[in-house]
Amino acid sequence: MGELSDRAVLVTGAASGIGRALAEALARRRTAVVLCDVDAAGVQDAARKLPVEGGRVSAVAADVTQPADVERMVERARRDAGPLGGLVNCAGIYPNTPFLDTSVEEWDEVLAVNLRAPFLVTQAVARRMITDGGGGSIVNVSSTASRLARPGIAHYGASKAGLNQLTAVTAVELAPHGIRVNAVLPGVVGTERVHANAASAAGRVEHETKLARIPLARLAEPAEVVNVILFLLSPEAAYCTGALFTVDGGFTLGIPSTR
Amino acid sequence: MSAAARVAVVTGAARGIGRATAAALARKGFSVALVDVRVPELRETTALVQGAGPAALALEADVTSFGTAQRLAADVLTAWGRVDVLVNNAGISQPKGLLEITEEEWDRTIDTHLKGAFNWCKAVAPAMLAQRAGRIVNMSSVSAHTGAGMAAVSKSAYCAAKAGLLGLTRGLAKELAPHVTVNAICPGLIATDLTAGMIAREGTDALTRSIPLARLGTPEDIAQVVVFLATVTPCFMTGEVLDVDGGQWVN
Repeated sequence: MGELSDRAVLVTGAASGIGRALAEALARRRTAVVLCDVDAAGVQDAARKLPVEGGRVSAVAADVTQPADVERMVERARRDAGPLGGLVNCAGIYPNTPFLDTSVEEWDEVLAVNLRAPFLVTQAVARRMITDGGGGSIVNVSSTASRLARPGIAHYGASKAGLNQLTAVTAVELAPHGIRVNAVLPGVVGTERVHANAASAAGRVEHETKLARIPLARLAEPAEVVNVILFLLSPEAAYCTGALFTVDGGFTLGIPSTR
Repeated sequence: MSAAARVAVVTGAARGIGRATAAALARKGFSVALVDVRVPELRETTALVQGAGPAALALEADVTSFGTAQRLAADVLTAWGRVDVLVNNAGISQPKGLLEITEEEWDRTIDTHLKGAFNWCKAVAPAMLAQRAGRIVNMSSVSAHTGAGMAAVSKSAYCAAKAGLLGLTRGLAKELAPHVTVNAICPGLIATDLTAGMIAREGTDALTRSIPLARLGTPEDIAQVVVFLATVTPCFMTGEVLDVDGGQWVN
């Protein structure tokens, strides 16, 4: 992959998971990166442990569901790291609750973190990208759950489907400013938590059932999702906007594999 | 010729997206076999690709021939010992709609886009499976989603052929998993030899009006996505369809 923009990339949800892995990959590529997370201690810790040789790194704690917090966070990112060339909306929550038991509070929280926050952060960042005049690339981390139905994730699936359409419409509206907007849709990513669950007696069966549905017969490594995000941030993806890049090992193809 | 480190086969490689793709893969270190029926342009492009990478091989052939694909794939394997990447890019325009098109023209359209891809997948997949590694990229089109678009090159037969490629992509993604990945790219309106006449007729301004990024795509725009799918390691994408259209389709 080629060089990313010399401008900074803001990553939300950067204290853990894909966001943290992405921040590491960006720092390794000497791209200035601003890590944002609601977990103040976690995001400071993640930033401290980055391989910062030549890269510039800063951390901002913020609740991205709150407009004032977003405004403060983005202003600080802009001040610390200079003009932003990239934004990756990675912050997300993934509770699993049967639809009939889902409270309105839980519904609102999922929609706030997974959909309202990308709206707020994208708006705040895009306004500055336009003022700075250099265009930019925005990547939303969606999910295959935006397309497939699985019990327990009505709120999550709806929030990610909403994020897909936020991606499409902002792609159209921001294109005249040289800002591209795309989404990646990971399937099941093999994070530490997923591997720990698969190792348990109860989790093993569920894990193997899941694998049987994935043509590539394994889970995604966080690096595999990160690589797709890096590509979309890069100038090599210059003609990609409004696109959804599924990274699921063929999981969305649906019918169980007959290998 | 000696065994090559990494080998790519690109069909429809003489011009346009195929040419840019072959050159981009060569720059990434691939030995590239270029397949096309347009002999003078194929030779010129092969010379260009030769200069950009380790090795290039011109295969003068019509992708619609099953037997030719079998024979030429065997030649590539004899020469270089492996095939890592297959890009099914060969295509023809089909500006005639249902009421104008003849049976022969319909067959020719489907045969070039869809059977051509089948022929070459069938020819190289056994080697990829034996290697336990391989990447296949099929060049579809946003017109597979949209039906005949404003581009006069993409009437219904073309759309059907390109949509067929998406089914082939998804089916093969499952059949060839887990070591061989199969993905498709759907370019939007790309400025190539195939679209040059239509672009001249309609005017660039009129055509770019519906494209949010306000420009036509270039062959290099698509080649870069092919290179990404062909080289990103490890790769968790298979059976995926990537729209690369400047935002035109969602607009």
